[in-house]
Amino acid sequence: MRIEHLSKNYGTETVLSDLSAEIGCGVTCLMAPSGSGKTTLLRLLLGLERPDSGTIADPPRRWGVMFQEDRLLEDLNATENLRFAIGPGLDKARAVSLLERLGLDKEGEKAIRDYSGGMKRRLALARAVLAPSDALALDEPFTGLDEENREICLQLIRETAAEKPVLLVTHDGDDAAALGAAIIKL
Amino acid sequence: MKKPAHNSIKLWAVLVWLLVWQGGSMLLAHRLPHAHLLLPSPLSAFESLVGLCATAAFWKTILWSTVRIFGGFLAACAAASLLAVPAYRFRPFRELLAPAVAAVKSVPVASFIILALVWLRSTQLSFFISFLMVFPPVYLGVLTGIGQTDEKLLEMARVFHVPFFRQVRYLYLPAVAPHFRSAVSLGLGLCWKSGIAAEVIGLPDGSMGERLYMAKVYYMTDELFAWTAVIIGVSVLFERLFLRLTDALLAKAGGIHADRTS
Repeated sequence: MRIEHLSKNYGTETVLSDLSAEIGCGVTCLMAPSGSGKTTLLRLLLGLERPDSGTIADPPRRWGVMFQEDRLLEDLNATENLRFAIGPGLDKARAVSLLERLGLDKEGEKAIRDYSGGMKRRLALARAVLAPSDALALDEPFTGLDEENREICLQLIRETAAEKPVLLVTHDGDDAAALGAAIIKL
Repeated sequence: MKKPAHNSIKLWAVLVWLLVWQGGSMLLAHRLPHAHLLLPSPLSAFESLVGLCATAAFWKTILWSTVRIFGGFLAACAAASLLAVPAYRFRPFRELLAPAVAAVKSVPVASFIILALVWLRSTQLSFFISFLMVFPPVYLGVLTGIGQTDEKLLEMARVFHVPFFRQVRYLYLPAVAPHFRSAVSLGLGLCWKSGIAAEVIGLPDGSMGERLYMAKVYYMTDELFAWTAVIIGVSVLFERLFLRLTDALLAKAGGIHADRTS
């Protein structure tokens, strides 16, 4: 996927100006301090907003996405959330195994509203990984995770990056280093 | 924690008001001849009700009015829900409907009844008036509910290519349900009040409104009270039944509990 001369303004405020970059296999890390347009670029790549100028060439047809907020349905349980996003095509055995790996297998019918912040984050990652996609976009995926769960998620992202491109949005250089990611600085 | 019910009706309070009614009728009977024509006692109103219940005409009258008034209510719920969707999606359509909805909300119901009598047969009047009174709250409730659907969840659904009907069931329906429920509750009260008022003015044969009017004309005040009690009873019964049915349908559709979120 190639980003060519991308610009985006909100009113008189310029958020992105003439940005060009290439996102290939493995993990690519979008790094910048807070408020410098990382999430806006991600929204442009996901097709949720249109750029004022510039193009995105060869975008993935389908993304598996982990948003900055968890964006889970609070009244539903973990499996129901996965089924909502993925539909009847959800690989049940793979979902059970992934939930077990992320330490979410014992929650049963518990509604998401009763999950901790870290549990919601892990479930959002599971949803992004399980959804049929050509690429993964992860916006600050390690927020609220303890060291042990961060390691588990890092390993899962490494494995996924071996199959498809992963775009990681973060302000933390340690995340990029841990994944050996190519870096795009805004 | 359970919320205190500010409007729950207690038996003791009803008994106090019945005693006040009884006291008032006894006081009048002491001072005026034929006082029962002005204010019959609760007992004579109840006896009149029992007498009415024993006749087939009574049940036919209730059925006649219920079919029209509740029919108008159901038609309004369906039309309002269906029109709220394009109204939310297309701004010009919403702007087109806005003055009509505002007019129906603010014009006195008596004006509509008299105007409708010019256009319609008296047998169609209560259906039409009930429809008109229920449409605005349900339409505005559904419109508000759609507008309050979580934008971020809608974006998530869009990115994951979630089919539209799954979005309706799990995203739109939970947002609309509490607004729809309170609008329906309001609408059920309005439809009976306005529908009976329309029947009293239009006097269609065999309606509850006609029986109320006749009771007034022939000074059968105890029967007037009996019919009023029947109207209140039918209205409360339909409100309870319909809201329970609505809750059950919504819960079945998406595990939604409208009363929990309202």
